[in-house]
Amino acid sequence: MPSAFSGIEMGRRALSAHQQAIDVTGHNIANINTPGYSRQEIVFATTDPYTNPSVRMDLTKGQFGTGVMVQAIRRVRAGYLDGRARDSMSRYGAQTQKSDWLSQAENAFREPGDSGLNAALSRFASAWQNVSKDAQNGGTRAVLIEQAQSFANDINSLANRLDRMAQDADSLIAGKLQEANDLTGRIASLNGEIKKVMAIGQEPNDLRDNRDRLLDRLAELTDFVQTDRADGMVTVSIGGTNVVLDDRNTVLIASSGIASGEIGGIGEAKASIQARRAEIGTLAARIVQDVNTQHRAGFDLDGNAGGDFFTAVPGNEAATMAVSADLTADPRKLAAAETIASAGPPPLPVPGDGDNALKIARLQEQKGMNGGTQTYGEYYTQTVSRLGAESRTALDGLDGEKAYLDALSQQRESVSGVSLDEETLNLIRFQRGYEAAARLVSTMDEMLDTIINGLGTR
Amino acid sequence: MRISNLMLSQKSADRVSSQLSRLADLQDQLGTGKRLRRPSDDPAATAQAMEVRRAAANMEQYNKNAEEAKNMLSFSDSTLGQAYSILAQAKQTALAGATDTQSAESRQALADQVSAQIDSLERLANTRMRDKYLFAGQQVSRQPFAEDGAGNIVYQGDTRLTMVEVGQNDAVAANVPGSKAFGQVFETLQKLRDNLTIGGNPAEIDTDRLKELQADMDRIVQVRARLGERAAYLERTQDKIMRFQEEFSSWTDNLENVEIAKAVVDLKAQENAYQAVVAGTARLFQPSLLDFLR
Repeated sequence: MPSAFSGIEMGRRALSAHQQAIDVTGHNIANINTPGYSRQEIVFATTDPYTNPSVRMDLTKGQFGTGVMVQAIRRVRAGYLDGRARDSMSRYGAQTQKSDWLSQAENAFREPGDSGLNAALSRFASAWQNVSKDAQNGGTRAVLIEQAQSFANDINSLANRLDRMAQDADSLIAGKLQEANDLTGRIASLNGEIKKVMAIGQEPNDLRDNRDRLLDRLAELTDFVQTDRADGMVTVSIGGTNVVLDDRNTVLIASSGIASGEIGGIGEAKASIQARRAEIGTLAARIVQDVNTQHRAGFDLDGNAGGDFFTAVPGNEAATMAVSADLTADPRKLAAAETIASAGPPPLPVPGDGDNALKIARLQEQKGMNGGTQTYGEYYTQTVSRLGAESRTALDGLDGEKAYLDALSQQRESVSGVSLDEETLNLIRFQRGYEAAARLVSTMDEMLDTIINGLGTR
Repeated sequence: MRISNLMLSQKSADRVSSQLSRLADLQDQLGTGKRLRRPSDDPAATAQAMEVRRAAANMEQYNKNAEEAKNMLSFSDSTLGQAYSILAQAKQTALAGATDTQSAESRQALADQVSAQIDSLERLANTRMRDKYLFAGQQVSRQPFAEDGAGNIVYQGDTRLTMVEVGQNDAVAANVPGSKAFGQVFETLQKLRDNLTIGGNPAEIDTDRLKELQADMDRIVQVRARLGERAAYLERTQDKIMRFQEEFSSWTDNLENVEIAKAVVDLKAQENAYQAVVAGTARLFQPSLLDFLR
């Protein structure tokens, strides 16, 4: 027979267990709007039963239950969804950045429209056409010089905008790397705390939630491989390097090795912007070379051979090309003529000869780009449509990834999110349990009262 | 599926925002009138639109070139027309001077007429269009017909043509060099004047001058005919260009611009979808179990 007081002890255990259950419910309700919070669940279990030691076991049957205890407070979470969601977050982060940056690059081109390079190429050729018809006319010459300068400016500013974007991408990557390093540092220290809590046999639910939130953010920034260990710690490795191992992290310095996530996405967009920038460079170098060669073959209004039309820093024509200062100072030096009447000295010019200008105008019809298969305009159009296609792909990828990620987040939330109705029901359930346990204690109290105060007082 | 409260609100926030961004996109399309606002809106159409725009810009330039060439040709033609009338007058003068009944004095009067005709013709041959001489070949800054020291009027221009592009690999000469248009006409008239002058040899008029004058007049007729052909060719080219331009502009319109009627219908549909989502969201959290407990 167990002790007469064991019923009170059982009641105490039930009260305590339900009290804790109400606390857990309260914690869930309090965190109903906390992102990344996993609802917690209390696990009741029976305490060890009391076996009646007796010579004649058949006199008292079985074991006496001794009540309830809280076996665990655990968070409800489907770990397998985390890995999938984080993969998707990495891709989504990459696509977001990529589409953002490529859209910005598209804006720099201002196509299709009247203010892009496409229209500027046409205006440049037209200005040469006009000079070819009216070669002796100082006004037409001056207009051409102006047009050519503004054409050069258009190329300069496009090249500069793209260059600046690549620089901005670098500094943004540096900022995001810093954030990632900060995250791995915090993940590592949480690893340490979690290990300590687990070592004493408790569940570090909220610490795990915190770490999962950090891992989610790290997934948005980078792509990593995560290994969960039995001691509760996670190992995080990026590009083959363990950035979090035990309670220590390794600082990332470069973005190399990060293929996805926001950092990877910015890196990809930057590479693509630089490729388009290089194409603009090739185009500008070719135009400078072609126009200069043809211009030098002609003669100016005074019968002298033409000089360079454009000046530029070799290798960086797109950002530096400009109409030669000689020409802006004196439009007579424009070598519009193909011939001179006599070599002199002094040379005798042919003022109405605009045939060299016509040849320069016709350069735009010449298929000199891309191994002799494309005109300037076609080459430039290809650059723009490549950028557009990449940007389109990124945008479409973004939509698709968002749908996938949303579905995964819903699934995660479906498992781990707090439902107010559910918690309310639990609250009622635990409150009733608590009330009943209290009743149990008072019943025991009355029984003891009978024994202690009711017996043998006469 | 288990539904949590955060899930419901996140999901509806997502829905509202995606509907709203679709709505904003349609409104932007309608506001700008553009379907293609950046290359990624339709990369293939962007490439096409850019090609079409370049082609259209070329056409505009070709049209401008053709217009200017036409002006030059028609100016040359009317000038040559006047030159022809002067030669016709000179021929009348020559015929009058060729008759035996004329006295030396009256022939001298005719010679003075011829001098005046030479002057008029010289003025015509030195006609300027804006700042350039029309009949100087490409030596446009120098007067093409001038007297040399010996009193002869000689050609100082060249025989080069000013080619004007009116299509790809299609150029038309916009000028006629003076030597082609006027040929030996000044020499002929100067000889005629000398024949008519006292002491000259009027017999040569009948034997040579009249034939020479006729040849000069025939040549001007031929030159004018050729100018007319060129002008007609330019006229046809411009018609063609105009058709291209119309085609290009409707092409550009199709590629780049919003079809207003369709956009308005789409916008209306999107507005309805948005309103439905917003209305649904407003009713989302109205009752919960809490509302039914004491």
